[in-house]
Amino acid sequence: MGKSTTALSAFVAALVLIPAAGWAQNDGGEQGDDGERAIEFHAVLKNLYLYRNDSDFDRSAPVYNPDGQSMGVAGTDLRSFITWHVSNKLRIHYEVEIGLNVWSRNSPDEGDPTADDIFLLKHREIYTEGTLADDLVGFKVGYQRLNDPTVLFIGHWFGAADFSLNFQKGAVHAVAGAFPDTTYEGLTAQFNNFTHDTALFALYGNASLGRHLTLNAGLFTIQDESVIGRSMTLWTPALNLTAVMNPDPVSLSLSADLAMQFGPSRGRSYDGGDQMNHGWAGQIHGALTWKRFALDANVLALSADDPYDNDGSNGAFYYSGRTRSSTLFLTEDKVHDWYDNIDERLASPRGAFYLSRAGLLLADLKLSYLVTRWFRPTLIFGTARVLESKNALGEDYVGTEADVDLQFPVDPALTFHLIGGLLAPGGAAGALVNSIDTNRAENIWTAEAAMIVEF
Amino acid sequence: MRHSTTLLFAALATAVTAFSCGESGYKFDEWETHKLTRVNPQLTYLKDAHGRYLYMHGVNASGSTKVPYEVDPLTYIGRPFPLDDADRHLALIKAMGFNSIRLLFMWEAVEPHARGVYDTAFLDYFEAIISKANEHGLYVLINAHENLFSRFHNANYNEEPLFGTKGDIMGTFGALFPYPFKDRDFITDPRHKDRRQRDWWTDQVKGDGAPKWAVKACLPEKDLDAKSWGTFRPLGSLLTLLLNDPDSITGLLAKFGFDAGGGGSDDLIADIMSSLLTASDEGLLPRGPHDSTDFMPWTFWGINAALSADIERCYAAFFAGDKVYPRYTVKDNAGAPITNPVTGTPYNIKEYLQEAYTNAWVEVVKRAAKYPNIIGYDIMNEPTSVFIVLTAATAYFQGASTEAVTELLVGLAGEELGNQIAELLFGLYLLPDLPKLPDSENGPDYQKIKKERNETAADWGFPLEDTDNVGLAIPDLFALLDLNLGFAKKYLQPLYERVGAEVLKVDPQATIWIEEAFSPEMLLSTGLGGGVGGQFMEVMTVPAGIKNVVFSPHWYPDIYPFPGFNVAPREFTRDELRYRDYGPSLKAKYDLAAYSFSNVPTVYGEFGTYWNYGGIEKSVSEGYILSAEILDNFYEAFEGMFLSNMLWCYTADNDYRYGDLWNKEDFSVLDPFEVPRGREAYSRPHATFLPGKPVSTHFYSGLHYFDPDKGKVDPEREFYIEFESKETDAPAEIFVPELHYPDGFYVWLSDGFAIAEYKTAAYGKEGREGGLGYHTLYYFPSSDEPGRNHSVMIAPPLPGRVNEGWSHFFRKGEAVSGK
Repeated sequence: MGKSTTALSAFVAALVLIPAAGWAQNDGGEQGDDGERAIEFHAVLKNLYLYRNDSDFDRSAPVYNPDGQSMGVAGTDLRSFITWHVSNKLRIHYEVEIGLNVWSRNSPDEGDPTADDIFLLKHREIYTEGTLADDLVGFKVGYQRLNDPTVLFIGHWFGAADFSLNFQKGAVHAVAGAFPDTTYEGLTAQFNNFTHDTALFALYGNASLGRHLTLNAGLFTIQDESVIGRSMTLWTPALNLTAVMNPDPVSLSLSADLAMQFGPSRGRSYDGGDQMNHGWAGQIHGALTWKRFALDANVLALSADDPYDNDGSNGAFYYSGRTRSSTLFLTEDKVHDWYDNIDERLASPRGAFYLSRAGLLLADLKLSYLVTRWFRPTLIFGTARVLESKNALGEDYVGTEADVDLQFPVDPALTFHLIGGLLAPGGAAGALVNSIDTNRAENIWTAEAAMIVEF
Repeated sequence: MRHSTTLLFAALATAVTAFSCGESGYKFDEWETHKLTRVNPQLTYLKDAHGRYLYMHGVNASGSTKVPYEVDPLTYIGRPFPLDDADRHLALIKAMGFNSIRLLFMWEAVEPHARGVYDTAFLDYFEAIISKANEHGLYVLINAHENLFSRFHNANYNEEPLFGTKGDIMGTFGALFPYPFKDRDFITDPRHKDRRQRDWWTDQVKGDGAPKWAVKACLPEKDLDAKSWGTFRPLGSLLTLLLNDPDSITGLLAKFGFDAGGGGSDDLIADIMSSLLTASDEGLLPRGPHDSTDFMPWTFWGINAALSADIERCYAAFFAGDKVYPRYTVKDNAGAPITNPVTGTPYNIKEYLQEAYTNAWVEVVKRAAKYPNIIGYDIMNEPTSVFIVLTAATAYFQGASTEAVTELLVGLAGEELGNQIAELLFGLYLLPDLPKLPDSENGPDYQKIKKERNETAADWGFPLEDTDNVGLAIPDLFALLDLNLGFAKKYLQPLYERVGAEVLKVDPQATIWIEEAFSPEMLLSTGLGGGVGGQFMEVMTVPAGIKNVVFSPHWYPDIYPFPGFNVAPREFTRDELRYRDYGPSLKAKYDLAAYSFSNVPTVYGEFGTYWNYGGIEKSVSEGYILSAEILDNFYEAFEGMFLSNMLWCYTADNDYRYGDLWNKEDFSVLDPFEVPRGREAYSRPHATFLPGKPVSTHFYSGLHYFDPDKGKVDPEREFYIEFESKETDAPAEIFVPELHYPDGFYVWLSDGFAIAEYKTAAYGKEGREGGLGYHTLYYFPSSDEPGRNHSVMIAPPLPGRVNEGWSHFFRKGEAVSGK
């Protein structure tokens, strides 16, 4: 990185770290006449800075040199959550995300709402939620974030109707929803029909199995009709078992996720026959807190397909891209999703899902120590490999990352992060991700800073 | 809790085992669309039984088929290659990127010794080759090949001239003289089977195709077995001239620019006399027209088509014997007329030949009809229909003066060419001096001169009286004149109809491939309108009664050696060739399909290049770059028009000295060590099958010239193909050679998915072994709505080029999926 770029980066990092005034004081809410909150307001504002070195793994086009350019961005993202309590049994919820607006690109001074540099605005959730019959029946209808028990399959925002029966020790939900797609139907309502949609149906529930154990399980079904003559039915039983124990001074939680997928993709085999899906995903997560120490460990596995793409069998898993992993490169950066996560880039997008024919086995450890009330350094180590090297040009090692996250929670609502990370990619990552030269696997390092206000 | 958890896992385990995982792997051998099916023309396209459009990227097998594999006993078994080597060669042909072969056979191969007596062993071999080609996924176009009618039209020469230097005018004529040849190794080289085992000549220029008995029927007065057959006819007259007038050699040499007054002329004259006298003693010198031919060893052999009356007589007999020789009946060895069993009357020469030709075809089709990879039957290769010299010679013998003959030649061939032909005919004594008939029939010498003229004319094969002695009959001059105009419509088209009808009886699914005639109209033609302003063009049309027809033109650029004997290969520079666009020339012939052939599909049956420009050593040292440039020009032009094509040629026994063993043509893409050469040009990605109507395609090989754009990486080795809405679920098949993509290749698809099959084939011998790898990409478009075009783009990883949004990456059989 040249001197001028270093100076610019330092200057921008300094700007990012200036706390914004005012937000932290808002406790979000307006009192109604009966003393209950009529409107709840929450927000998460992030000022972010990211720098990544020039590497074959970034997405910059090779305009100025063969590998591309270094990546650097400073931006602001605001996610606001508003809940209107229409009554004590009925709520309207709206989540909107403004951003990520990049300082060098999106202009607050832009008057034309159709211009390229206008602010980004995303409506995430718009739903109504409530209960009926003395809280026996619940509903949540509209655009919402829905997860399956593992979050490995469904962890998306989409339109759905969720109805539940609520019991003392748990609940059972029935869901019907639709994934948006841009194929064939177009955007005008007159062409709209159910024939070429991707529908989701689910039956899931949770139950307390004792003082320490909770079971979340469900059956999620996708009926994908978006490609004419090549529909897919995907049955996915998923379960999560979570055990939480707090033998003082230790706090321990263990969770296990397992999801399996079955069902035909019709006419998608090379010989015109059906392709049977039979993928699986598993994850084990443990979190231990002892005094000032916190340790998180996670192992994620996504099944692989055989070396024959589009034959009668698909063993790969339709994956949401969401995990409990703490890694920043290998999976979604929990500070902010930069949409260049290696687990997603190893895979092929399939509508709302990622299909990694090479499979994935990822293990990571996160260790943090609360030095003072306002300083918690964290170390993250993660390593990954594929499960079928033949689907990664004969390579099996994806890479190893090591990160340092210096967190400064100076206020209950305000936290600063200073992060440095390094990914040493392996041959499998080169084969699957590097679209310039599959033989090259150069290290990526990153510097990230974030100022997060959350209330 | 424990109980419920156990139950839960048990239920899951049951569910796991209850559901099928589906069949893993590709079973290409069981896949219906993996097998070749019959192909039928549909308007301007060829489509297979799965409804896919076929693009032929084929090769002719082989150049050496023109010469027998063995001459004693005579056999063509082993042409194009011995059966034991067939799998190896066919696999290599496929790996080199060809999806079809134009499989040649000679009429002589089927019916070598006598009319109606078929070489069943050859037919067995031929059928086996077709069968093996099917196993290797290669389509076969069967072609009855011929050039200049037969190999029995031939002329001998020496590569080291008796006098002069090879390449100059003296050396050209010095090559015609026989002399005791010291390097006997070449004579006895077992690969060169078709050359007479003489000690006097090192090479021969010849035709190919018809068997000896057919030639004998056309030229009954000729002794094809004479030792002098193939010797330059004027040498016989030259010896007589020199013996009578030794000083005349001086004037003769001066004609060729040799200063006989200078030193060395005595040695030269001595060499010439020694050669001629010794040859005469050996019986090598022609004594007259009976034991010689007017065929000459032109390095560019095709010149004989315009200059040899012997060849033209054979074609005239074959195509129009009933009109040109209306009273000529074919006789057996005992001199009795051979009777047509159908009509009960003696065979006319045309019927005698065409019926045999047709029946030979039927024997071949009986063997081929059962195979799904038969793409058609190419009835006759390059039917040559130049009758200029024959017409002029007939007129001459029938009384026209030399001046009148010259005028006739000018009328038929144009001012320049006509005069040149006249000069050759009379200057080289290819026509005899005939005494002039007196004006009055009553004069004392009239009858004597007339008798002398008649005897001479009969001697030369142009009788003025019908004679039973050798079965000749008076040629009809007006019929000959007619042959020169409208040949294709009046004579060639009926041949296609006749043979085609018989072929269809045996193979009702047959597609008949037709070629245009090489006629005087082509010589004078200024385009589709034809000569003389187009007013007299009578175009051939699609043969009547034949449903499936393909038009198959040939075209070669200016690569042939210049006129002369023993002429060296051409020389070019790379820049001279690099920017040539063959598109307009190829399109001109392609337009004939729409102009007169009812818009049937067009497949270029032959095109190609020599591989020895500047001499074979130079060419090898330069990596055959000139030849590769020429072929690359061809392919870019073909791809621009989506024109199917078949390259000339693949010769398994190519030779550095003798090329494809026929007339020193060296067109083979395989070198003498069985190493493919110039692969960069022809071993290129292409789609063999498309499930929708083709729209456009291109491939930029390493030979392509790019206009550089700032900031833009040249799309080297980029392949692109686009086609219209898919009409079938069968996939597109795209050949992708490893040659251009050693590090693998990215594939961008408009929609759907692709899988690939990877194969290799071995090549080479004698320490030059190697292997060729290739992928066959099967593309399955998914979108099915009308009006939706589909596309495939292939590109290698290139420094500086970002490859975003790709669908697949393949490398040596491994694959990853992208977008």
